[in-house]
Amino acid sequence: MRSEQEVLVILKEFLKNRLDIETGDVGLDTELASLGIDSLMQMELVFDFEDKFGFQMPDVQESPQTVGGLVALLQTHLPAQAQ
Amino acid sequence: MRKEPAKRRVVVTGLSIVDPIGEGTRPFFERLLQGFGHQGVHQNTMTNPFSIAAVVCEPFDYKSRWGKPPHPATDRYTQLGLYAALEAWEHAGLSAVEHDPEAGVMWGTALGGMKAYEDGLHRHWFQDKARASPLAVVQGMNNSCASHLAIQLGLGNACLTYSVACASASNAIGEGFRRIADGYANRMLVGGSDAPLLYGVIKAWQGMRVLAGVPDGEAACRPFDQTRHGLMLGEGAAALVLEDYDTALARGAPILAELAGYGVNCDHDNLVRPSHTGQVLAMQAALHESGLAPQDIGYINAHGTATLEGDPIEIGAIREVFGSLAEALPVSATKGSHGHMMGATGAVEAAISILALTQDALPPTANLLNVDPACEGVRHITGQALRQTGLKAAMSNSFAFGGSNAVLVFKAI
Repeated sequence: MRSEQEVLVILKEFLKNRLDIETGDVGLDTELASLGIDSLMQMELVFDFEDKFGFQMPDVQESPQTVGGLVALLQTHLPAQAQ
Repeated sequence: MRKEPAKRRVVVTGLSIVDPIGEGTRPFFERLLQGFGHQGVHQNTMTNPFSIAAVVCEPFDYKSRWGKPPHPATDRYTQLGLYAALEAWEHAGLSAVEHDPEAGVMWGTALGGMKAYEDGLHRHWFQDKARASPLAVVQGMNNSCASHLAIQLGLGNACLTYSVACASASNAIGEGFRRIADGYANRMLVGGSDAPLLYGVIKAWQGMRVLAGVPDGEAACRPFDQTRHGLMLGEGAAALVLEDYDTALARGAPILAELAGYGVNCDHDNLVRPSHTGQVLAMQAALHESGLAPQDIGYINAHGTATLEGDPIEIGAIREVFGSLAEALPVSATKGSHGHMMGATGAVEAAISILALTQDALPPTANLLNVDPACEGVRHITGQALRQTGLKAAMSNSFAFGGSNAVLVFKAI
């Protein structure tokens, strides 16, 4: 499993590149809503992750509320090695 | 069918057109006045690359004007629409509010959202991906642009999208006019946007054999000309702000023109063949509602798509409505300058008609060198603009596949 910090770095890259969100102050405790990320954007982020890393998340997921929650979810499903 | 005159006067207080060249609404209109014929080309690379004559908004950049889009679920047709609508709103001296139950949006689009589905198919067929983007549903719904506008500006009145092929935006403008005239709203943001330069859309139009060929240095779209050979697809958007006259006066709004009449009907005859009778009735209905006489109309922005069949039918309908006045009535079709933007076109042409009124300058039909004898009987504007004609009222025609006709009449104020 990838480390929390490693996934956080990848997620912040996605936030910047895909959603044009400044990530300077983003940490694990940051509320996703405070970044303007709604449930649709969360799904789009996960979708982008699936595309980039070649895996598929199960369909039914509880939406995380924080960056840390999203990182934990991605950690569970991300392949150990980049493809 | 004749309607009773509107209960409240409706005026235009803001206006914007997305300029394909990226210079802005005023320079766009200036180019029209000079008879500018657009000679753009769209290169499609979805499969084997091919090119068509088309108007592409190449320098269009939403972010540089308005910052990042309000949501990633905004595709090109929505961003084109947001751009024009936000600019029109600003032009009217308005800003976003928390909630205005007296203001709404009525938007026109024929193909809005189609790109989301084409992107999904591209992923499945060419990239072997099993899933489409989770945003595809909200990008692909054709009320996406209208909804984003309502959310952005706090518009709590009706938020409706009209998809009526080439008349979509004219219907959206007309229905917004009705809503204010009948007292259901005080202010409506109206217009249309479309981004139809997509593989599936282009192939469908090519299949119908009505698209103009690649120009090779020659003008592609030549309405009413003997050598016309089809329409030129384009992408774009335009928006108007309509307001109840008293509301506009009370806030000291800039009043550009009055929207005085709207004729809407259906030929119920044929899906693609325009109907002389349907067009005549729509123009007569708009005139009647406006309270104007035929001699009051000093300019018609014709639907004029440059198809062999459509152009003469429209001229024939104008001749019937205007009778002996037709010979001297200035008419132009501006699609040679901006292309046929499908559901957005009616809004662009309505905006052009209003600018013609405010500047008393009538744009010519670009690329019209030799009027087809079948299209004679009106005063075709060719070459340069007609200026200082004393223009008091202008008519904008939109006639759609499916037999729907929408005619708008604007009055100087």
